[in-house]
Amino acid sequence: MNEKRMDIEAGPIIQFDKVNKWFENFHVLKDIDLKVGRGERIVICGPSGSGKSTLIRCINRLEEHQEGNIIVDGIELTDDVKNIDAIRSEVGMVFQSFNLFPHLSVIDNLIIGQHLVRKLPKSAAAEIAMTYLQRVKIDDQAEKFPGQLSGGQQQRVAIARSLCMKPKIMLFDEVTSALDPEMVKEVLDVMIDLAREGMTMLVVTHEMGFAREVANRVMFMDEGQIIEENEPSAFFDDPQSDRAKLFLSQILHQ
Amino acid sequence: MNNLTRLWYSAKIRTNFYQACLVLGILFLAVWVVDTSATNLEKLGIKTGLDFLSTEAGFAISQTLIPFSSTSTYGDAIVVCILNTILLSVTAIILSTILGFFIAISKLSDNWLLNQVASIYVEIFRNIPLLLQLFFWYFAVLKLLPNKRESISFADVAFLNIEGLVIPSPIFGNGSQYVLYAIIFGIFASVALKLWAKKRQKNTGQTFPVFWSIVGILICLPVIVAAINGFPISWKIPVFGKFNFQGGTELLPEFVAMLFGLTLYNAAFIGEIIRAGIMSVNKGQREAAASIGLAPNQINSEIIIPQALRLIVPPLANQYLNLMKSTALASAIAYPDLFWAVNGAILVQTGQVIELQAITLGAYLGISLLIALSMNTYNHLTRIEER
Amino acid sequence: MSNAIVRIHANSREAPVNDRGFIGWVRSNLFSTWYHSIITVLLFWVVGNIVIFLFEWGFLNAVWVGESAKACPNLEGACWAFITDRWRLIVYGLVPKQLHWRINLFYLLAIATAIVFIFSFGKQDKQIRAVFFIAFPIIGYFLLRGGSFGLQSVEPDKWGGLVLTLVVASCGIFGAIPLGLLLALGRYSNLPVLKRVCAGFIEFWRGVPLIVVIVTFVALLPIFIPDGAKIDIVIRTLIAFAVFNSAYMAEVFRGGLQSIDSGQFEASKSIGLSYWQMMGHIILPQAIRNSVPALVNTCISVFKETTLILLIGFSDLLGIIHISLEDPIWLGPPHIFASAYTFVAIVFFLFCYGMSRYSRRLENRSNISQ
Repeated sequence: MNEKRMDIEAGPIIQFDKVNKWFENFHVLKDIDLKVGRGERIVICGPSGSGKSTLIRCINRLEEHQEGNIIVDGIELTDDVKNIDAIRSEVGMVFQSFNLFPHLSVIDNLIIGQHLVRKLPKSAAAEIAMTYLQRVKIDDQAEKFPGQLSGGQQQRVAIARSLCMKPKIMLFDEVTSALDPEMVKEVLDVMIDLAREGMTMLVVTHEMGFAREVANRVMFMDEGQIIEENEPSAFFDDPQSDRAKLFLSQILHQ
Repeated sequence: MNNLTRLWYSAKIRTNFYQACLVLGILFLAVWVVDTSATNLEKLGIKTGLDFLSTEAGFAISQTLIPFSSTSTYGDAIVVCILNTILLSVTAIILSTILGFFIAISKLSDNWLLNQVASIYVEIFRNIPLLLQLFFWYFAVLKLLPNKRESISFADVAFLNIEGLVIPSPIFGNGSQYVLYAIIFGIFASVALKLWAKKRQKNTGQTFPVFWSIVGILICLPVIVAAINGFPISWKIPVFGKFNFQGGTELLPEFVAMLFGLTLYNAAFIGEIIRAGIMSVNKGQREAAASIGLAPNQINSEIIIPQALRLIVPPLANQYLNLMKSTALASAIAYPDLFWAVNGAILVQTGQVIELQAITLGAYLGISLLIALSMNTYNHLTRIEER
Repeated sequence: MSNAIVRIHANSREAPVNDRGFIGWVRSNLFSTWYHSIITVLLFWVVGNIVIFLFEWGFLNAVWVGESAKACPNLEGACWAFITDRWRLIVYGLVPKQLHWRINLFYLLAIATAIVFIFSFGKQDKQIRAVFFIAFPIIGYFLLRGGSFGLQSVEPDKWGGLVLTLVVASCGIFGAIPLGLLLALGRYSNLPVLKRVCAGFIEFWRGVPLIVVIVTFVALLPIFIPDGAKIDIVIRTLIAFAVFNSAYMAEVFRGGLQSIDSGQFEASKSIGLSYWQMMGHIILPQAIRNSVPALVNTCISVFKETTLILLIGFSDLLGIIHISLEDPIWLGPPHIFASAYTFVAIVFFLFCYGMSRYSRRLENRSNISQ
């Protein structure tokens, strides 16, 4: 993986300062401190319930944090509606269950955001949509409906849908966990291409091969804390913390 | 961005502002309505206040479960009619549930003919308005019945004629209270026995013939007590005298017609609810239970019915609620229910519209809330905990 | 040297005679066990008798034409003569004869609307359905009420019979649906005050009988609103129907909203759609489609409820028959009642059963397209 210089010195694109979050009485994020540079690819792994999804969902305000600061591309994430909208237009998210709009065709799924939010005329939006569909290699399905596509195809459409909004950051929440094994590769290939082009990515995943190939950093989370951070090869070959060792032994035996 | 616009964009402040506007709007509307009403009431010369409740009613009620005479008040009349409503509702609920249960079973049966007959029944009775069915029973069928002299008899014990249904009434002689105590004791003993037997089975795996024991307790014990006291409870069987029946209880034809109509109509809905509940239990459950070796009746009682009940009870409670509300139609055939009393007789005589409407709405709402509360409690107690 | 076992291909044979075809079907469905056999025989006998009786009563011995109760002397035959004698009242109510053409137009419009809704599906016909959904109530109102566009005015108390039934049902449907949708959105929202107000409103109307609601509106509107007494009683009843049923429609829509996966909300928010954009383009189209079967069921209930207005003195389809039965010419023994009620029952059955088959068809279609 060629090393693109990470401009952390120019200011991180995402910054978490002592972020805490509770669900009712359950402390789900504990004192999270995090800096993500532009162009960095971060893989977040850990046992289920560790708060990985919650962490990235705080970035586009799908979850609200109760304590601490989150700053995305210089904008602080607070109650302020304008800030939230501005941040959401720079952050794209891909979900485990795809969440394509079932009543719209594939191309309409990609057009609707551009048309309503970026206020582009539908024809211009359609052109942009087709370029991204070609990039994820699914342009021949443009007129089909999500229900007619396989899981892997739907997830690639979901990625294209986010990309149409020209985000600076892409968040991936276990995007291959719901796919049949034979479809995982096609989605990972798209994500690898994205990484090559310099997109800032935060990826919650169990796919260790992907992490080794693409990630600059791997973060291991457990029980709401970031327990260990390291380069991928260093982390997988020589985990330092006991919990990481336990986790890796459970995953890698397959 | 200056501080004021900053405030406006805050999501919290915005939503609170909208809600404050909503509250103010409602308050304003309420004040305006009260003000207009006061003016209009004065114009129309209608009195307000609840003292009419203690005024003498001066009209008669055809069916009263508690004593009601010409000196009883409007308040008494309302109570009597509420009791009538409850009586009708409860009886109809019981009968329609039993019939609905049989319909559900018929529709689940393997017998094609039985299945079809049940389906036709459901489609017919569900798609015809209840009021029309009531009119049919009351005006078309009941009026075709013979007069008292030529009543249709059921084993010479009950008689059906144009003026109603006459059934035997019980006579409680000396010592009958002991029989009652025996029955109550029997119920408690049965429950205790069942709990004890379940516990014993849990600890030792041995079963106890609970069913026959309960039969013994609930039936034999009261009979023995009755025998000791010389059979104090007897039935007064109606006998036709010169012009009328002596003895027995006479049920109003209105009551009988309402019962018929409500039972047959609601049984169609209840049958569908029960059937849908049973069918919605995953087929795999039955197969898994059979593969462990459970007998058919065990499969039903331990696996299928508990799961089906969860899906049956909420819509069933809703149907009971609808049944209770539909008893208001009884006033169309002059059965003295709550609606008949308040919006018919009392309204005509006192003209105090607001209070009477409030009482009616409040009474029905009260009963509805009670049923809804029981439903929520039941749901809470039987919920399946999920991750 | 392989140890594989290979078999010759076998052709399919027919099943044994007793297990297939008509005989097989009869054996397993009607006579599978001894008690089933008994039930089958009993039912056959009972149902057979009922069918024969109905056929004789409804067709063979029925009296089709006549002018008074004397035409129908006994219980042997149905008294359809009563219906054929009074059909004008049933269809047109009390509207004067020269204005019947407007009623005819109203019926045509109603039939056209029904056809549009029955036979159009899919996105391309959305415009047509929306047009009819709005046009039918508005044009229908002007046709019936008159008073503008050069049409002679007709007082609402002249509406009767089938017309009144359709008017009341339409109000309960077309008036309740938009209001119900708004209430459902309010109850589903996160604003606590709005949520409670909508929930309270909905639960209030669901807890009381419709007849009480109608009487409340008719009796109290003159008091609560200045000049409320000027509002025609029929209009007050229509308002009562719309408000009462909006609570039930709201619950139907709430079910539809709750059936939408939360992922749809999250995906919409993450591409930056605003609340109304999300609701209008993504959530509501799906929610409404999911609500349709329950919606049609509610419409069936509204249709049946229209008979209630007879209790406050209106002559809907059932009411006008009821009143006609008290006319001295026709007043008589109860079997005429039976025939008249059977006729009304058949009319209602056709409407309601038709609607329920429509809803089942919609359900099947939406299942296929998933």
